[in-house]
Amino acid sequence: MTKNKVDEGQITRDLAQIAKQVEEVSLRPSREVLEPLREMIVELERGLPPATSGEVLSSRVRW
Amino acid sequence: MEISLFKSIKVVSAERAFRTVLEHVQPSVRNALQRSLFVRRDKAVTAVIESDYLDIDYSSSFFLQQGRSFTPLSRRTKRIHFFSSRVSKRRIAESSPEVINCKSYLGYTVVRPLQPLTVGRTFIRPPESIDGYRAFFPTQVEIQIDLCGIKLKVEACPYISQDQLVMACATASLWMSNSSLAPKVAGVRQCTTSEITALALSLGEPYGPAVGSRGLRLDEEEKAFCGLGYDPKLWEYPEMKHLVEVCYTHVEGGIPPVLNVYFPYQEVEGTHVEGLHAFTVVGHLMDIQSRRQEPIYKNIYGASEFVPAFIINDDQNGIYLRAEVFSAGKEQRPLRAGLRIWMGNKKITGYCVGLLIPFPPRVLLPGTHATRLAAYWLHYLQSQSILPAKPLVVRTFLARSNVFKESIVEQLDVPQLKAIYRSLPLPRYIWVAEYGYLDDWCGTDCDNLVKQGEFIFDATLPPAVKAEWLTMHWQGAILVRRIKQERLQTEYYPIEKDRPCSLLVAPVRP
Repeated sequence: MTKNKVDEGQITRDLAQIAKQVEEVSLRPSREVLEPLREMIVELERGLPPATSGEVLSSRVRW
Repeated sequence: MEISLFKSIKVVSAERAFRTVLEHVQPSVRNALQRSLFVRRDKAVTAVIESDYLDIDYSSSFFLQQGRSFTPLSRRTKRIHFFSSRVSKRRIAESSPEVINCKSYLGYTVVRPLQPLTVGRTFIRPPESIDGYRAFFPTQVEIQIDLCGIKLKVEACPYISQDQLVMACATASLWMSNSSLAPKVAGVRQCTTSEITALALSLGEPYGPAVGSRGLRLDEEEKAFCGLGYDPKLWEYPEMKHLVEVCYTHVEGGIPPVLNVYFPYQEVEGTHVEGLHAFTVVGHLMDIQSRRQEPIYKNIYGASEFVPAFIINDDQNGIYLRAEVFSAGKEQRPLRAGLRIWMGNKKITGYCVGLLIPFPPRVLLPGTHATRLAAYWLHYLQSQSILPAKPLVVRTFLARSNVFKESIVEQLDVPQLKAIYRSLPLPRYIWVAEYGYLDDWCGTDCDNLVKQGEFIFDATLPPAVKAEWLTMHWQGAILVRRIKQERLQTEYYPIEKDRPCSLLVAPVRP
C-alpha cells in the first residue's frame, strides 16, 4: 500500500516534468527541436504542392 | 380497394427493374449499379418503381434546358427503390410494420427521362466489401426517404451521373461531395447541380446548356465550393504516397475529395478513351495483411499504409468503383500519381492533375499537417523514453468536437479519460490522431485494431511549422491545454486503469 503511494507520487512528479518539457517545446522551441517537424513539412510540400504554384490553376482546360 | 389507389407505384423483382426501366441506361453506369446491388451479402430482391416522381435536381435542370423547348418533354422521372427482402404493394398500401423502418431498404436511384437515359440522384447503401477487400465508407450520410407516407432511412454515398446538357463531370463530382457533407456541416447548404454550375461561373441568372455542359476549370470548381460555404484547398500533381495519404485522411474525416485526372489515349473494350475527367473519392479499402513500407518519419507510419485502393463515385463510369493508386513513370511528368479504375473486369488508367478538398468553414489545418504534428510529438515522446521505441501507426481524422465527445461517451471504456475529454472546451472542428503499435496492427482483423492513445489538434489553425496540440494521451497519462485569459495552460492527469481500446467510429448521421 505504502509502495503504491510512493509510485503514484513518482508518476505525478514525472508527469509534471513531462508537461513542463512539452509546454517548453510548444511555446519556445529551439530551431533544432523543431527540425523534425520542418523536415516532414518540407517533404510533404514537395510531394503535395499547393496549387498556388499556378500551373494547374492558370490552365484553361475544363473538367 | 386500397391497393388500386396506389397507381403510381409498381412492385417488381430487382432483376426485372434492370431488364426494363434501367435497361437503356449507359452500360458502365448500369453495370456498376447492378454490382453494388447484387454483389453483396444482402442482395437486392424487390424494386418499387415510382413512375411519376418529381426529382428536385432534374426539375431545376429541366427549367433551364428541356422546359424551354417548343416540343413538350417530360419533367417526370422514375424513382426506383430497392429492398433486400420481399415487399408487396399490399404491404406498402397497408403501411405494414415490415415496410416501415425497414432494415432491408437499400436505397434508391432516379432515372431521368432523357435520351439516352441517365441516372439522377442515387443513394444506395454501399456493399460491405468490394473485389474481396473490406470496404469503409466514412463519407456516407444518413438520408430519410418518403415512400407513400412511409419513412425509410438509408446510409449511402450520394451518386449522380451527368445529364450531358447542363452539367459535366466536375459539377457532378462537386454535387456528390457536397451532398455528402452538407447535411453534417453547419454553414453550408445542399443544392442542385444547376446551382453549383451557376456558383462556379458566378452567374446571377439562368444560363443555357452551352455553359453547363462545357465543364468547369479547376479555379471554377474551387469557386463553387467557396460559394457553397466551404474553405476549399487545392493541390496539384501529387505524388502517389501523398495522394494516398491525403485521400485516406480526409475520407476518414468524412470529407469526399474531388480528383481531377487526365486519361491518356487508350482502348477500353473496343472504345477509345482520352481526355480530362473528375470524380469523387467516397471510401477506401483496407488490407491489414499487407502494407507499403514508407514511414512518415523514422519509425512512424500512417494508417494509409494499409489502404490498397479507394472507392470512387464516377459519374460516367458508375457507383462504388475501385481505384488503385500507383506511382507514374518519369515519362508522365509533371504527372506523378496514376489511378487504375476498375469497372468489373475492365480498367481505365488516368493520372492525377488536381486534388480539391472542401473543408468545412473555418477548417484551415489540412489532415496531412495534423498527421505530421502527431508524428512529431510521438517521435519526441519516444526520444524522451516516455513512449517505447516501437514502430507506431497513426490514423488521423477530422471530427466535430461534439461528435467526438459523443463517440467517446459511447465507445470509450475508461471513465476518468471520458470525464476529462467531456469537460474540455474544444474548437468546433478537431483533428484526432489515434496511434497504435505497428506490430499489433499487422495481420489483425480490421475490427480488432487497437489504439494506445490519441492526440487532438486544433483544425481551425492555419498550417505552420509550430508544435501545436490540444491534448496528448498515452497509456496512463493525459496532457490537456485549456484556455485561461486568452492563454493556453497545460494540465496533466495520471489515468488509472487506462487500457488500449478500439479505434473510434464517428457516426454518419447529420
